[in-house]
Amino acid sequence: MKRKMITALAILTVLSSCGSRQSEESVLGPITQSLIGFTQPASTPASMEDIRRQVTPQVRQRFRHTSLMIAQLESNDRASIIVRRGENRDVETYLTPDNISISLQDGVLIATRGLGFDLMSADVSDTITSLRRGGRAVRIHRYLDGEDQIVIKSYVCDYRGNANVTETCHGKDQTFENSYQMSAGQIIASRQWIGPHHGYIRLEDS
Amino acid sequence: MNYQPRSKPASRRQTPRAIVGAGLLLLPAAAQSQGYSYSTYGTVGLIDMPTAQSAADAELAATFSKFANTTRSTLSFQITPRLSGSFRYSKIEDYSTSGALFDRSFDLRYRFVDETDGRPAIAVGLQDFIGTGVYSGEYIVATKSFSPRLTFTGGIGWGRLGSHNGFSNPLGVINDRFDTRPGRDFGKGGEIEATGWFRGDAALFGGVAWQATDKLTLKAEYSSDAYGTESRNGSFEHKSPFNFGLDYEIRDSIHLQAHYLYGSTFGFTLNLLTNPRHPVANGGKGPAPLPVQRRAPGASSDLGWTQAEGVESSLRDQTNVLLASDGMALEAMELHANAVTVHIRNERYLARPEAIGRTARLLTRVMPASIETFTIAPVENGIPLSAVTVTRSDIENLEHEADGAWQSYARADITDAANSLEGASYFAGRYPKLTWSVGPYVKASYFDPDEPVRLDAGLRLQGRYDLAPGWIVSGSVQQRLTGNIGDADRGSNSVLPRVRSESVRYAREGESALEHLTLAHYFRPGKDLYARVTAGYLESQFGGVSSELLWKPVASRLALGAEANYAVKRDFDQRFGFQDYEIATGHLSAYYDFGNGYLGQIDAGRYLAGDYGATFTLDRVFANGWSVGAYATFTDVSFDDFGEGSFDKGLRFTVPLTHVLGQPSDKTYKAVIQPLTRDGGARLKVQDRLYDSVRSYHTPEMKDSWGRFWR
Repeated sequence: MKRKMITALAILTVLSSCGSRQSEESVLGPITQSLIGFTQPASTPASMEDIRRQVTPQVRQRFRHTSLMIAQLESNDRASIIVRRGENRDVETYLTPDNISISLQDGVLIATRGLGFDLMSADVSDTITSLRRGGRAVRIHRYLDGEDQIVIKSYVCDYRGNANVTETCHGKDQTFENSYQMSAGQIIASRQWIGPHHGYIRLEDS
Repeated sequence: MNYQPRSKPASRRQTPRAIVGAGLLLLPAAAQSQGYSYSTYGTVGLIDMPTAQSAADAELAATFSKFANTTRSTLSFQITPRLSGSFRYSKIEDYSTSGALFDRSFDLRYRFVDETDGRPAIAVGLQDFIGTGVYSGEYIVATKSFSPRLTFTGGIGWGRLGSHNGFSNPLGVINDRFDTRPGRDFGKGGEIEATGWFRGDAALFGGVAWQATDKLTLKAEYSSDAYGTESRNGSFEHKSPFNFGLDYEIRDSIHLQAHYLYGSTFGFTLNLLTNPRHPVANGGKGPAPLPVQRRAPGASSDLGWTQAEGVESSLRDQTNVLLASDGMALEAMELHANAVTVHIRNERYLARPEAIGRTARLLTRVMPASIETFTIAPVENGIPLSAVTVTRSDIENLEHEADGAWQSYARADITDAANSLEGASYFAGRYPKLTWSVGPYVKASYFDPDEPVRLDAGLRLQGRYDLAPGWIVSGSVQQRLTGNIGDADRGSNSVLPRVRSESVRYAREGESALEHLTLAHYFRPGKDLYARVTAGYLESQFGGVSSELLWKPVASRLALGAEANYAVKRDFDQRFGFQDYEIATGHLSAYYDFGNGYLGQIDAGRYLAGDYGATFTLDRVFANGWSVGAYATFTDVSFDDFGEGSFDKGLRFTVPLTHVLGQPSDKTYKAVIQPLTRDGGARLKVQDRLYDSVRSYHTPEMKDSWGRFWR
């Protein structure tokens, strides 16, 4: 334990300097938390409902040139408004105020950034077709492992329903079930699986 | 002794093996490393006896164990999935008439047969194979699991592990010389004594481990160690060969064990575990990058901007703002109608491709549409380390491509950047630049028998003034506030010039010390060449001039270096004075990246005490910034003249801060553990040697972490 304290001290020492080098306060917080062994949520969780209320006409006016969505990670119950910041062909990238991004291809989640254990990319071209026509599709996810190597996971998925489509996917180690609410061929709300670490994210057009 | 890197709080269990393993080498090994725990020796085992299991690949385990008159502190590393190594510092009270014994020992174990349904895993091990041999013993051991929770182990041991109920050596069938174990002439310790291995009486040992719950493992064993010397001289009583223990997992990374040993005594063991392969968050938790901004179709033919006034400086400003918001900075830029080269400083992303990838993305938001080629050249200490050229169309097209990481690597052109700064305009106000910091420091000194861990703590002021590109004045002063490193009163008994054995005196007299104050110049003498000249107070014990030249082609696994130094020993008070000892020292170095994360290094030359020889280093480096390595130095100083330990050797570690934080940071924590610090084979400690910073931006390493390009 003494040794651990020494190391902890040493790391704190590295961190707790002040000066013209970048502020280290941003790292001090997390490390003290990880030393003590718990982390606090940055703010009190906001529910989907809270966020819906926050999207007032004024907010819409402010973001009138771009689109807004509401997202909620099921694993920590935190909901957030997300703002479209990028469009690259059929992929839209939305950012939360605290710089987590979510990329959607025709409404289907293909990437996250900033969560840790991110979904680096997903090949969902078959999925997009099958969501509208039913049947079976293969989707391929890519993640980073702890040594920054790309790890490829593939899943075979079945599709049921019309207005409310359920996508049931089986991979070697995981099974997940996404659901999509469709309107005029577009996804307007969904519950989609990011990966084994984070589980599901709920998304809805605002 | 054990430097225990902070273990990550969220770890193995939370990361389903599937993600991590996925067809990697690890998978076959995983079957061998289920349900293992550590012994009092800090190696994978039962209570006092080893098993044939291996720890998870790359696991680092710090173990502290105490029972009766024995205290053992061990650091073990699973070097490969099959090979593990341990370093141990032990204290045995009343070991001889002269009192307590302090012993350093090294172990190796190799699992040469994997467990299958029909056969056990089998491993061979050497315990305390260099050193004074107090714990020396060899064994062959087999372990078979009968369910994921129940394992049986049986083995045969020699040396210490053949001391209880021994029988004549079965290897005697091969050759009579196996029948007797020669007395060990350990001299000053530290020599490998292979002649005694597997000789003398042998004995059988065995045991069982049962994982009763997810947290609790019960162990029982029959030990073949008689604890002869301990029983004869000390308070230790060997009444029974049976030991019993339980292992409780307090947290994923912390295990506490209790034992009932040899029918007479109780003991406990604490294990702290970490694994470089499992950071707190795979890929890190840093903010998302700016998304790519795709150009409108046809926009790229518009060259109107090239005629406008002030475009270039405005582009430099915008680029710098976006880089700064991503924790980087613009050093210089060279703009053409269809191409741009940006020189960046990256002090945030240890995964170098991430810095490149983020820069490429933000350039799509800044650069006029006609610019199709982006060249990104990372700069450190004023010199460009490589140039990565990507086409803007690729960045636009691959951003969301499923296979974007590999395709972007395949299409990126990584080249030497020797003259890349020539036509570039520096970002205004980049030079001169002063940076400074004040903060607390802690220093540690290990292995003093009177006090195995000694600490000093105080305040340190560091400053760095970048005069011009590649010209840097830097310094560091410290004020000790408290500590006991200088209290050690074991004076140097060295017969060599005392170049390192007076560290205690430096610590004692340097209450207010100038750690270093140097003027350094970094430059690129030509393609593939990197150079450094540093002059001044180089380190706390020596001043002088140090110069270094490194040859490292961008795509080469091999690098060659030459270093020449003139060093004068500094006064103990570490102010401005010097002592009457000066020496010309220098090395020729070869560095080789073997792939799969193994890096070798040989430095041959003249050391600080005037001795000639070579240092051999092997590191296991991880793409995420970790490294764990060992080195040994052999010089023309005889083992007797060297003194205790016979030659210089040690372990070295680099722990990236992101591993524990999850947030991006290029800070790393480096530690070297030297069992003994003496005067033979000592090198100058110069700041910022070239190889590490150069290597990180070159292809073998960039390729290994290119998965982070789109992070």
